[in-house]
Amino acid sequence: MAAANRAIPADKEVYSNAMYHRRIVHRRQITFCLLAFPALLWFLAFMLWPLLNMLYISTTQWDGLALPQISNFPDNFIRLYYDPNIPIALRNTGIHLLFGILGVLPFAFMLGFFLSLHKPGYRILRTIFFSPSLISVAALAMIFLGLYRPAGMLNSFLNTVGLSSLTRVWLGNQSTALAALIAIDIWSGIGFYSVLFFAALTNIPEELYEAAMLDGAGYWTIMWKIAFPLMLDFFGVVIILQFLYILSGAAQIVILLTNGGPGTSTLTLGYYLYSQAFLIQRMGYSQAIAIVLFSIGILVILLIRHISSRLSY
Amino acid sequence: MNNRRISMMIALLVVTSMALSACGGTPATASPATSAPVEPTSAPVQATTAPAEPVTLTIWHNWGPDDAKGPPLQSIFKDFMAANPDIVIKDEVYVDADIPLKVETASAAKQEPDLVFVQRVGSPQTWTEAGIALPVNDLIKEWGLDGLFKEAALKEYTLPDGKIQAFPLEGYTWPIWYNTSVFEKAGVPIPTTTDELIAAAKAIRAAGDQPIIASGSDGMGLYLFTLVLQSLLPDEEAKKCLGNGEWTLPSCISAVELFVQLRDAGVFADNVEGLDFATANENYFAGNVGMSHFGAWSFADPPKDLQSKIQLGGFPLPAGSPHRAPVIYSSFSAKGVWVTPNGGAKMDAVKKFIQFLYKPENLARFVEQAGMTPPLKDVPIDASKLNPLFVQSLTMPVEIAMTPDDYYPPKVQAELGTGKLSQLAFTPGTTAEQILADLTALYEANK
Amino acid sequence: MSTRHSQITQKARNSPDGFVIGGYFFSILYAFLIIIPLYFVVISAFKNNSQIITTPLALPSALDFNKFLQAQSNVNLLRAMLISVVVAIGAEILTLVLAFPAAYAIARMQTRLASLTEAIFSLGFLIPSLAILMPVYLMTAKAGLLYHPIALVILYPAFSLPLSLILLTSFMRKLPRELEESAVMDGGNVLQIIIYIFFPICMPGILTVLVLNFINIWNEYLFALILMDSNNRTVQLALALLRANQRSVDYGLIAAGVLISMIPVFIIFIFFQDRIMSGMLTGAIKE
Repeated sequence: MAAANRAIPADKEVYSNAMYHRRIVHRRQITFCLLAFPALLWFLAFMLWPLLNMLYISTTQWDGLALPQISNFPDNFIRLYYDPNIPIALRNTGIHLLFGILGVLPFAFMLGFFLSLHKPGYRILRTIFFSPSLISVAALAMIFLGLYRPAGMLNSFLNTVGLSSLTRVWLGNQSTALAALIAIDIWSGIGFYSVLFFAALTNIPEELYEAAMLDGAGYWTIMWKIAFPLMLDFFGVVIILQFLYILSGAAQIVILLTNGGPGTSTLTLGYYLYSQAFLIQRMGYSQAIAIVLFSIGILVILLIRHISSRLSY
Repeated sequence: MNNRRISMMIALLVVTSMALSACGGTPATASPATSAPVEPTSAPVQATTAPAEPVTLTIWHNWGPDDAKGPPLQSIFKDFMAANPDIVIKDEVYVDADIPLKVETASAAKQEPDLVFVQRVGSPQTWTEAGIALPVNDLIKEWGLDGLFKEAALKEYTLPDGKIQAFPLEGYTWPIWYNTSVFEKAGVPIPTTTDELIAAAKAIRAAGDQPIIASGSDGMGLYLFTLVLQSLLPDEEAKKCLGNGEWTLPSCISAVELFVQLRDAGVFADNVEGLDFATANENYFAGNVGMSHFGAWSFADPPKDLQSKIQLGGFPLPAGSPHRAPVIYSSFSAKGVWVTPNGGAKMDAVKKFIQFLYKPENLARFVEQAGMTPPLKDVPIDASKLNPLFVQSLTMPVEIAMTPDDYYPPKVQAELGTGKLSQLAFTPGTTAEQILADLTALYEANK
Repeated sequence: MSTRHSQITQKARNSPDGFVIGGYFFSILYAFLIIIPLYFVVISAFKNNSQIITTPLALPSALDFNKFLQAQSNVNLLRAMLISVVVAIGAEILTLVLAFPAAYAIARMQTRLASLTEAIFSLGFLIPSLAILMPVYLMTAKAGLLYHPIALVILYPAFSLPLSLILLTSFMRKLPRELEESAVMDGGNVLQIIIYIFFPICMPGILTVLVLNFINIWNEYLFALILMDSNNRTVQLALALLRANQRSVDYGLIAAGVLISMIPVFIIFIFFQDRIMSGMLTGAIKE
């Protein structure tokens, strides 16, 4: 309210408080619309429309871009219900999400905190940490194929240090393939998010740390008792980012390395969507899967934002 | 400071728009992907009926400069344009797997190319029915190509309703490659039966080498898996299992059990389930592997010192096999020339090009330089120019098994093509029951 | 102040902190885990296949740049990179122009419309873009922009908007109210507030958004495949062609192509990295 008062030009007549307030709010809304309108327009054009498209296509049988779309509601959804691959995909995606978030963000936060202390060499470390995310997926595939191949670098390393019994066909073994793929996301994710955390943490004034240290706190305590609470909001954003990446974006690595196999051990929802759309040419069904993805995404995002806003009062 | 930022952004904007307008404004001239630029002779002849502008034929294919068929194709383009000054060929190279998607999206907006060189397997199967490609029956007759094509080639491209989908172009054989020096070192002959194969595998391993290498982790390995099955199955039965999913038939069960038996006897190299095509290639070319399963597209690849040691043949036959000789795959589905409605609007130019391409002496270029099996009956080739492996492939003592690609239900083919199921089959420990169960489930789910 | 207190502060200042040692240890370990694979790609570009497969980490015997030349001549990699860079710059600028004012509106103006808008944009993440593959193609063709990189410049911001908006909004929310109020006292209107005050202060957030978007644009394959032709390939299309052009894959060639394509990305990152530092010094903590 004080701000509203200060916005009143001094030479104008003074209206009643209530009318003023309404007028200010009204003007704010117009300004808001003008500012946000272009983005909204762009977004509606390219996002609302695919959403509607997605809903529509999921009610059809569309077996190839060349072929016509035949309405077959609710067959695609019945198929969803009975499809044994869906629970498998849900489970694999769940595992991927669990380790991809828990295995990345806490460590990224700690590394980011360490970087933010500006100890000697932190700049170089920061660049190195960020580089995995700059690598294109093609290069990533090449690197990790070279690592995971039967005669690849990982097995060679294990052989050299005398752990030959641990060597295996990482991408060809049902029990290790998913873990091998998740490891790739953890490898690049920790570095990437550590730099993001670093950027967010540098906004914390040094005085807070110094005050704590005067009271005898070590870095570890400072990290968790001071920095972490201040980062809760950012954590929420970052969890959503990583969640969304794994849900839909991580399919690329599956496509390049394992195609969902061996068997169905690396079949994730995102990959399943892609494979049904482009490999198996069952576009209608793929959009039904997309709706599942979309729903999961919305629910989780809402949940995270709810928790996040609760925690950061 | 703030003004500087704004002017920086404006400068960026200006540079961007300038660069973009420079980029997009590339004129539509022939721009092949090889290093030898092709110069269209563009001066139009001022006859009374000659068109003032050259007709541009847009052709999409994947035979880039690294493919053995790339240079011969470019030389054909060049010679064609020299002989036909009023036609310009604009060819574009794309990743093979992307071409169907691009063609289909383009077709929806009537922007498709005039001719497409792509395989028959996969979604191109749907093109004729969907109107993306024009049937070529009449074209073959009218353009004097009738009777020139091999019967088998045309038959492959003929749909149940009699329409011919495309002009067959690339045929291939897909033999088993034996490394004679590895067998000699192990002291065993090249096997023609599976018993001999098992014995040979033991001996080869004892001598420190690996028996059969395969790319177990991708779609190539699938073809070895089905080849082994088909070594025991007559084509009619194979159609039932692979085509119809009748995996409860005793013959089909026996075929899968044969595969598992061979695998457990150690005929496949170690860790074969984790190898991709490139690694399998590499391992075979390194010279310490007894057998591999590569198609004719690899004839030009082996290192020189290995070439003389390669003997091409088929997969050894199990006892009770209905085949008379070791089996291989061979077909003409590798590449066909598809004519689109856009091409149909330029039928005159297309006719000239197709007639030129299918002149036996022109097709011979592919045979000589790339070891391609031509779809025409009589193609004159200078044997001295031929790839020795290709020459060998012409007289292999083999029997051709039916290509399962022709019989898979389309969605099953796509699933199998990812290689996930065959990868499981190659993994030690997977039982025949598991493989059969997976296959049954796959066919069930994709009826 | 007891002796104990000064002892603690003494400890904090003099002896090497266990935390710092641990931090260095894990950081350097992780750094190695990153460097080794990158090193592998770099040296592979100078080797042939069998060397790469049998001795992946050995240094190349000679610095043979053949593969780089071959990568370039096969698919005209440099031109593809130029096109990708130009598309990225254009799309980034457009994204910022759209997202920045909108983020300001959502973050600083507390209207119900704002929360609704933010919620709508959050949904944008979840929609798989392949649902609009055909419609986008048809629209592009109708607009006569097919095969012109401008089509990508117009399309990509749509994909970048949700992320950019969420990040910028969350960043702007944290800034103190006094910023606007002092500007308004000086008689400024909204646009001036945005450009002269918020823009510089939000630099870290903006740069984060720019880098994230750049990575996505650089890696995008599907729409670039459909909307571009062989003359206007983006870098990912060129790399895929490089890989697929051979039947027996030449890993060294792929490594060379990948390296060439990573150079601008690294340059841009290193360039912006410094700007992050200077951006933060000019203003965030002062007022």
